[in-house]
Amino acid sequence: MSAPRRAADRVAAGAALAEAADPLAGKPAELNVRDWLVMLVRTAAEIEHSLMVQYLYSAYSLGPVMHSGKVPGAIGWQQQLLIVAREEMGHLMSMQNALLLIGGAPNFDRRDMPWDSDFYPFPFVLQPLDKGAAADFVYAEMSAHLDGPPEPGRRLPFGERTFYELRDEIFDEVKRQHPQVQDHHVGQLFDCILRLLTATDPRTGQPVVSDDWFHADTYARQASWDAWGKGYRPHPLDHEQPDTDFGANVLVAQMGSRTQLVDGLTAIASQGEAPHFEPRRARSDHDSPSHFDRFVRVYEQVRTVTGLSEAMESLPTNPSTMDAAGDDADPRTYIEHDGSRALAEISNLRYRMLLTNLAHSVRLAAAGDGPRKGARGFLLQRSFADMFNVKTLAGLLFDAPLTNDPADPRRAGPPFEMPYTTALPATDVDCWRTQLDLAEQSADLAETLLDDTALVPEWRRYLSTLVQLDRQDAARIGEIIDHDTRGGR
Amino acid sequence: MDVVALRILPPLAIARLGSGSLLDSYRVEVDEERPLDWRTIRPDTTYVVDTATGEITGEYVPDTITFRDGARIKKVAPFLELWAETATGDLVPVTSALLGELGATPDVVSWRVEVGNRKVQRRTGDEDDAVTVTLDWFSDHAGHPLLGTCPNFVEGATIPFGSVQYIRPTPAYPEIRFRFTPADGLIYGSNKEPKDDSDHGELREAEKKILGHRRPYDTAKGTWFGWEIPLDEYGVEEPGKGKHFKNETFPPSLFAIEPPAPPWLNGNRAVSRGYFDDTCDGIVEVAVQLGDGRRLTASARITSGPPALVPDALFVRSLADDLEQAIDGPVVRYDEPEEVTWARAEEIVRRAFETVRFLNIEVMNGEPVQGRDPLDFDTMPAEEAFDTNRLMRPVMAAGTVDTLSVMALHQQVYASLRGGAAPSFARLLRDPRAVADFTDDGRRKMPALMCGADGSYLALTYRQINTIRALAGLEPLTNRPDHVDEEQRQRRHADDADAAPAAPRLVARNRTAQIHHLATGNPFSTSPATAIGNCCPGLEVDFRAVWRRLFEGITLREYDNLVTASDLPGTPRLAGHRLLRIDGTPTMTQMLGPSPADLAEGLPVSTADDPDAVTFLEWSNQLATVLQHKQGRTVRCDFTAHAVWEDQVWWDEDDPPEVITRELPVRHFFDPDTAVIARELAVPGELTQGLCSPWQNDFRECSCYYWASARPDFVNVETTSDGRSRGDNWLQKTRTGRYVPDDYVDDRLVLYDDLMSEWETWLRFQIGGRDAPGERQE
Repeated sequence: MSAPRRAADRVAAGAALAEAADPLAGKPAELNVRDWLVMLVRTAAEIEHSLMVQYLYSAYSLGPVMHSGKVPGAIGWQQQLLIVAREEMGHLMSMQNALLLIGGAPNFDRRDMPWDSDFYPFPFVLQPLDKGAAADFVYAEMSAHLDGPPEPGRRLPFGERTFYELRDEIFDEVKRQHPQVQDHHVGQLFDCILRLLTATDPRTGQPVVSDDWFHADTYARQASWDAWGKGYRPHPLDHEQPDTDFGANVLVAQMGSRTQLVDGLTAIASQGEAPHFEPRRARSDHDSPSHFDRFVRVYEQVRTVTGLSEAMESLPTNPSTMDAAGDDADPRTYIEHDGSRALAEISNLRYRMLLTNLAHSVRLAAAGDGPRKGARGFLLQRSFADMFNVKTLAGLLFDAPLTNDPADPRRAGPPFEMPYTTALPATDVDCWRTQLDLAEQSADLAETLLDDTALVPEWRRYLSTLVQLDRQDAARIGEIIDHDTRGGR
Repeated sequence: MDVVALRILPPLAIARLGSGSLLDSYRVEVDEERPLDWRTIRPDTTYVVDTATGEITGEYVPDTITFRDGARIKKVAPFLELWAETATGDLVPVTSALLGELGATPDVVSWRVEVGNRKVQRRTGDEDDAVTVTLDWFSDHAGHPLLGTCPNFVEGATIPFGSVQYIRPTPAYPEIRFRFTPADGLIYGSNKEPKDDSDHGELREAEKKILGHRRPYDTAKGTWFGWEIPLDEYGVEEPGKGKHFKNETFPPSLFAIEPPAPPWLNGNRAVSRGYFDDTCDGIVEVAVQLGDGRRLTASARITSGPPALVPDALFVRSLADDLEQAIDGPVVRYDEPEEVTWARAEEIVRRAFETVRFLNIEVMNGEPVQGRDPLDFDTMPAEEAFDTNRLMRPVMAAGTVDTLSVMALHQQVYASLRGGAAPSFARLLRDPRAVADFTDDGRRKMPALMCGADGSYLALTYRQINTIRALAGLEPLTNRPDHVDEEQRQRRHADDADAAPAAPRLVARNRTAQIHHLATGNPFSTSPATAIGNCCPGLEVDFRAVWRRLFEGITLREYDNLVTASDLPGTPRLAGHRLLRIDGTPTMTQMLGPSPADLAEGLPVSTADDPDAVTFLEWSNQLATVLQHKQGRTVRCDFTAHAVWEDQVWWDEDDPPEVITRELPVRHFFDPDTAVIARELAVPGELTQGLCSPWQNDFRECSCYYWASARPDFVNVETTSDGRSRGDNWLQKTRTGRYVPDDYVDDRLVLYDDLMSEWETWLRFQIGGRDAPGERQE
């Protein structure tokens, strides 16, 4: 548990907050409205980040059963989970844009281990996909209004119709796993933010959130779909594409005003779960299924398939490189096998590199075009590259032994452990030094593994390539640092 | 041994021009310890041939491979090997001993060679402009020169295309071999010199260096000297002027023209200088009279082209990819072992980053170059803007792409594949039916920024795409999904299938392995894997030409659906009609451009001349399914009811045009049971007829951006302190590390006459992405 608890933990109960008519309900006394808004958006960024990691873990956990071909449907579930994870990545970048607009600091942090916040639907847990995990995901992305019965006479869309048929079962599943769970859904936080953004102070008739707080000039420097979307949206001409075949529709909302901020957050909330969020402008690209819809479909299939639980038994929950021996309450699964743990450490490092690249990209972009114009492209491509690394390492780890006992069928998994910090150094050159440190460290760790002549061939093929990539990048970063330290800045 | 057939391997061998000695043999390999390094050039067994006796007198493995002798580039002269197919389907080399077993001797092995250069004929339409040579059956071991003759040449004049020799088997080297040695790479002209006036003074001087006394073409007989594409009053090419249809190539005017060049900077005026080159393509045949009375025969194709100037990198879509698709179809077989599919996917991605390495991505993306208007430079977004009369826009978000960064990302994808991660980028691959989707979403598909055989954005072959899709768990993509169902069902039940996996070894039924077979002594650059065949037009081969006679009774134009000749009993002449649908599938698509209101939304990009925004689709991908399912059978073809010589016609499903429908037989693409492109599809000289004349012109004008193979763009690339890439334009004369953008007129670059007179020194070999030691540095 590396991150300290913070103000977000001390807000009033989330459900009450979300339902409250008062837009300032739940605001801690020591925060003013602007600060409160920043905190809420930062919390939203953390939640998007957390969900993304959990979805990724479950998606990658399907790799072994997909490969064996023994569980029909596994490919489709993984595709659905990855689609949602990609869209969450877009949400995360959109939250950074929102923070730039309202003058907050970018936030790529998240809580590491089980952690309960008033806005979190359930404690953070990395779990292989099974019925329980799928129920959790439905629960996280469901709209609060689905807690109650359907409105009489209202025509229910597919996702809701199926959900209502399975609702009791899903709730039971969630409660079974998380007895302390409160009625939190992701959409409630967005409700809260949107209510704040659109509220008017009855005393003055002025908006509670002042227009003066918005930095419209950051628009062009915010992350854009052009740069980050990677083509992930339905082609506008694919009108006849069946709903179920929709690929990811990554939203990277740029925002230069309150109106655009509200639009952007509404679109994101709508994509997540809540049909009551209707975008201001109806657009065809919002017709793709919500995360809630996708997860209901996955749950519906997972609950009846045979063989999945058995296939997933060998995969860990909350794999970790840290040994908590003796602490029965610790929910982590220690990766005891030395080689697997070394690979997991590289996986952690690549995850850190991804977060660092994202943060560094946002910082450079926010600084505008200057002497580092070329570096933006460099960092952008490195960010995408580490998404590939995280995926590849997950695949290798789910196939790697958990313990040193050759007879033990249990496998390891990617720990996604947070680094001690995601904050960047204050100066540009030190940011690059951090980048250099990470690239060199990764290469060193990989080379240590490569020294093992008995290394799994697939690991060797991958790691030998990774080392070269890191050395290449290190040389490029070194060039940048050399120039700066020579006073070329 | 029970021999049932003969094969010449490889079925298509590429020779490469040069005036130097013969290039030693080499292979290229990926270093498993350093997989991102350039391919390792590993010297290989090289034969010493005594050309006087025709015998191999020895062999050696050189310490290193050098590609030139000083100012001369070494020739690549491929061997062709004779193999026998046994009754069990194995292939074994034919040797003197085997011939003895079969009651024959090397003396009864006969060879016949027929080659041609039809580039000029393709432009003028005059069959008397074809330069051809046939060597009738011979069994001796002398070197036989290939002296191309042409009815329109001055009496007795020829163009030497090189020579061929039947290698004499010896006890030490008993195998039956044949060798094709190409020409030097000279340019030939007409017997009429440019006018002796001040306007033509420079040209006269240049021609002294380019041609010397090589002037075989008789201007009194043919029209090639001064041949011209007619223009209308607006300077636009007008193919039908004077009621004579000018069947131009695509792109047009791929030949040396009177200055100023290129034509598009000078009112599209293109007047031919009357040049020929000494490349050729053709067919080698062999016949063996066996003791049991049988006469077995076999054949192979040969072609000669420019040197492989980047020997340690390969292009993302090579001639071999198109040939593989013609052999194995657009869909990956359900029973192909996964490791085979996986290895092919890795190779595709590897070639992708090898291609990116030579591309100045920032420039090719269509961003301003050193403050200059990007329209000044030849790039795909610029081509697209010209074609659609729309504003030019960068393809990727400006400022986010750079050569080394994009290359590294491709390398990362490669690393992930090596780590066993299923490819997640399948959806980013361009659908071959959507090559003219110029919306932002469409243009950003992969491969990006390069041109395909139809002049639109390059797509991989369906087979390449489906290799990636198979590993990603996606259904195959083809232009006929209804023909995929059965295979797809089979894939889903692959675990239950008892069919034998595809054999990767060299056997009679594995024609893909035959395509890739490297005869001992052959440098790797003789392989179709090193050739650009299906571009616009290509370098070693214009693969578009092989589709023209696929349907019996009609001849199509190589690049679109125009019927140029027909002979169908009971049917009026269809020349000038357009083949609108094949087996119900339209042969064209619409150009879609961005909506002015939303760059991502697509609208047909209509112009007054082309209200339906129609453009054609390349044949190789379009006919892949037909080839797989209909060879030897008939297929329904819908033609326009009337001749439409010059305009494309849109197939509107809601309001289809009036048509003439005929069931036409589909020819076999290869000679029976072989990987040799059938003679009926392309006679000698036709596989190269659409290429530039002379080929050197292509290196100056190329707008296809197939940089990785023989025509790099960005070389000597290094990182800079601001995180960007810097390097030289490959064609920039003096290496400075500051890229000179190519506007075709900047005299810091190698220009037309430089190239035609001194191509062997201006085309600089690249090893490891840098000028090889000893390359010209001026």
